[in-house]
Amino acid sequence: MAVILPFTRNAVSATSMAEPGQQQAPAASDRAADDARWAALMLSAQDGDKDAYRILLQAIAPYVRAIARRYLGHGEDAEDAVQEVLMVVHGIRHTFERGRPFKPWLGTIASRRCIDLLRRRAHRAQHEMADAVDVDYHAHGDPGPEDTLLREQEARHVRRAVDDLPARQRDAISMLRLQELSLNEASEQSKQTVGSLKVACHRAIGSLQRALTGKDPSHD
Amino acid sequence: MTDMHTDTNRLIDQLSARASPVRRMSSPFLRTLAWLAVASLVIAIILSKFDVGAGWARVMASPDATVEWAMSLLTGVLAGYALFQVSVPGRNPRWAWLPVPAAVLWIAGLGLGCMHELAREGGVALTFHAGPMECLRAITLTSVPLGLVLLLMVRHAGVVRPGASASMAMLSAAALSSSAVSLIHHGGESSLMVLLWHVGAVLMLSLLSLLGSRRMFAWIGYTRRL
Repeated sequence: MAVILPFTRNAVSATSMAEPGQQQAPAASDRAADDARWAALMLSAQDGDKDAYRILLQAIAPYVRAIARRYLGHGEDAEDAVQEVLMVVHGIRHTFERGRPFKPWLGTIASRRCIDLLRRRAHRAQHEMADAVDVDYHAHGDPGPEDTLLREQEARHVRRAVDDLPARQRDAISMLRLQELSLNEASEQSKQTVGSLKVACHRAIGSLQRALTGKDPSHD
Repeated sequence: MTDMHTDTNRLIDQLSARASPVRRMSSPFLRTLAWLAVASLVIAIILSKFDVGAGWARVMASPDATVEWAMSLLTGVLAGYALFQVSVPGRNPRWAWLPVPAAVLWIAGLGLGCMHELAREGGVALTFHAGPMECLRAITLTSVPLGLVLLLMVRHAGVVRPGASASMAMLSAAALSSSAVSLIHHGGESSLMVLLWHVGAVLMLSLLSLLGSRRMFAWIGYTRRL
């Protein structure tokens, strides 16, 4: 059974109220004394002593903050964790048992909440990354009005260049490249030999390149 | 950072202003006794609708059958005690191992029964029967409400050790239900079928509770009020 000290307003030591970074490492006897004091304060708080409860919460906040910073760093999340832990302590304060040490009780609650917050943070990061990928996908997959206009202009130029080709070349490029027929199929359909189709297609490509780029492919 | 500290101080003032007296939790031993009283009452009401004489005679007919039955009962009792340990902050989480030896003996007893039957009857001992599937239904129907009672008793555990607590709760409820169902089923099943349907039901329910622990405690736990 732990020693239950009578509650006094000055029960909380100066070291336990200080920031963890500011205090020197407390001796084992100080830590044990803190534990006994906090246990006594909690027992008083369970009986409805509001002053004891306020002093206890003020005393444990730096201790909880030190645990939270170990898990979550020094950002806002750590202070959110401190506040969550204090709320959980309030919600389940009836689970602290007389004669049990206080710090393992508080430490379990604080560690669990920090782990939960870490999990939540990882979940949030995952969603944000998924959203970013979505935005990126839409940026590339869904062209803006300028892109659409440019593509329409290019398509018009190609159509006009194809229309301007001689009839044999136009038929050859239409069947072999636009309709993607095989040479034999195109030969049957156009009643031309495979060889003449190949020649017509080759010439058509040259004519189109000249028309669209202004360059003569034979000079490349 | 100072603003956040101010928020924390304000929260401390609010919480301390709401510090009404609370009833301290009883010891794990007393809570286990309370749980066993509730479970016994519910199971006794269910068993009162059936003739358990034949089942009891069968359980007591051989030492093997008695040990198997006692181990299933012990698994339920020890899982209950382990639950009231692991669900309290600051208590050692290794208490979750407490029901394991009894569960292993229970499964090993049934496994040994399978081997004996295989040696005695050959391949017939391995024949699949869907009949004892009724046991799975009975165990599930009994253990789900009992498990909910247990979860209510440890509803604070959602912020402590939700997984271990939920699985211990369902293990306790399901193992006790299985020992009760052993007294009312028709008998004549092979050990393999008992292993499959009884132990399978207990393990399945425990595993499902483990997987759904956070959701269950979010529904039933104290965090709803925060």
